[in-house]
Amino acid sequence: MPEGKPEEEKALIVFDYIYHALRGKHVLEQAGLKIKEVAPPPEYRTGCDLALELSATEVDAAERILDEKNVLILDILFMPKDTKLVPVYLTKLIKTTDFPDYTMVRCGNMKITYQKGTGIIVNISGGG
Amino acid sequence: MMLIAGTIPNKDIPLTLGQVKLEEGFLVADGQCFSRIQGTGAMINAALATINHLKLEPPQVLVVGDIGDGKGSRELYSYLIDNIDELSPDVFVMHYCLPIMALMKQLCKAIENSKKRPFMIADAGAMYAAKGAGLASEFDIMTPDPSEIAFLADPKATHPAYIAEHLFKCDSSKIPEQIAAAFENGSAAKLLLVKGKTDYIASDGSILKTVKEPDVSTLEAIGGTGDTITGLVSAFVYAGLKPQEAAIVAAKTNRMAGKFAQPTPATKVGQIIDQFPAVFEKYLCEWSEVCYK
Repeated sequence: MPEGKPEEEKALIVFDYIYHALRGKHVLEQAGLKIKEVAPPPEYRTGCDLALELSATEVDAAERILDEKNVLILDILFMPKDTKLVPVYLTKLIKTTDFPDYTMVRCGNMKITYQKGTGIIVNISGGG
Repeated sequence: MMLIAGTIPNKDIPLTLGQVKLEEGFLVADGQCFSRIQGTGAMINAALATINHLKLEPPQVLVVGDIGDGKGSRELYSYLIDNIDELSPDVFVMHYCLPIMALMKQLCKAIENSKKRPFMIADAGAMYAAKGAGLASEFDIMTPDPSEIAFLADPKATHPAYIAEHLFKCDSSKIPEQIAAAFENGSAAKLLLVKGKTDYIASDGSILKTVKEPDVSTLEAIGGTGDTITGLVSAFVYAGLKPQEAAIVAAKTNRMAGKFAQPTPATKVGQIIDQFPAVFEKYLCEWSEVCYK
């Protein structure tokens, strides 16, 4: 952010299940909203979860879109201006390993192996 | 008695406690039947195969279905908190569950107040909860994979998905540094068995041993091949091996079973575990003090 520009107020949408978080990210991005995946604040964490950070001015629009798309949210938090949440890097750091007839896709501690051609998942691993 | 606790990704499994056995390709405890090739099931299967070979009393298992909503995990923690003293296991292994730090704190407190302290082993969600709660050093052995040792090395992380970017991007060459950091932060069990292309056995911040052979790269693609190491090391500790020796023999067994199975990336972990008896028959006397022919 350029020096001198006031930091925008942020809001955080937290979810019960990561499934809803991932779907929420998809539908909000489709709607053109600028969002960022972050780790929820510790008091909201239950494990393998994810929260979406967005501009506080876009909360009403986001809530409406999520409601229309049946994405269940746990809560919406308005964050103090200086709050720095940990970005989640999972989606940025996908690595693939090539086997003769299979491909393994690794993302953090999670792995999926599928058969080339059919796309059939033959093994999953990790996640804790 | 050895007690293994963990969740099963099947919402229909109620909280179940009983001695485990293998029947027609499934694990069975107190009439409940569950898969031997996923997570806690793979770990139990590996421990059971080892214990059966060593002719010891099969493990008691405490399992419950949990498909991610945490209901089963909460039941599991609560039962353990209320009953760990009475259960009085010699070896207690805790595996997949939602990492609920407050409940892990209560469980460690209950264990501290028990008449007998078990030998404690954690992996997966239980390891995350213990580390996140600042209680990793209460455990005797943890068995992280490369991404999980980065998590243990990050003093601020409460889950492997939330580790610092520089650790997330690390390759396996940094594992020794991460092991040292995990011990320095108090985020490691007394002994770590880090599972990966090279297996590291470490204690008090020092790497005691590495195991690299045989190198079966296909194993990385097969779900559960890390869980089997946890089951193996638990069983060998239960058999009386010193933790360091148990970890070394576990790492060697898993690799050799992988070699024996001649796997493809589509091989299921059950096929690896099925090779354990042949590996034990051929190598266990050479590798360890426990020798049953």
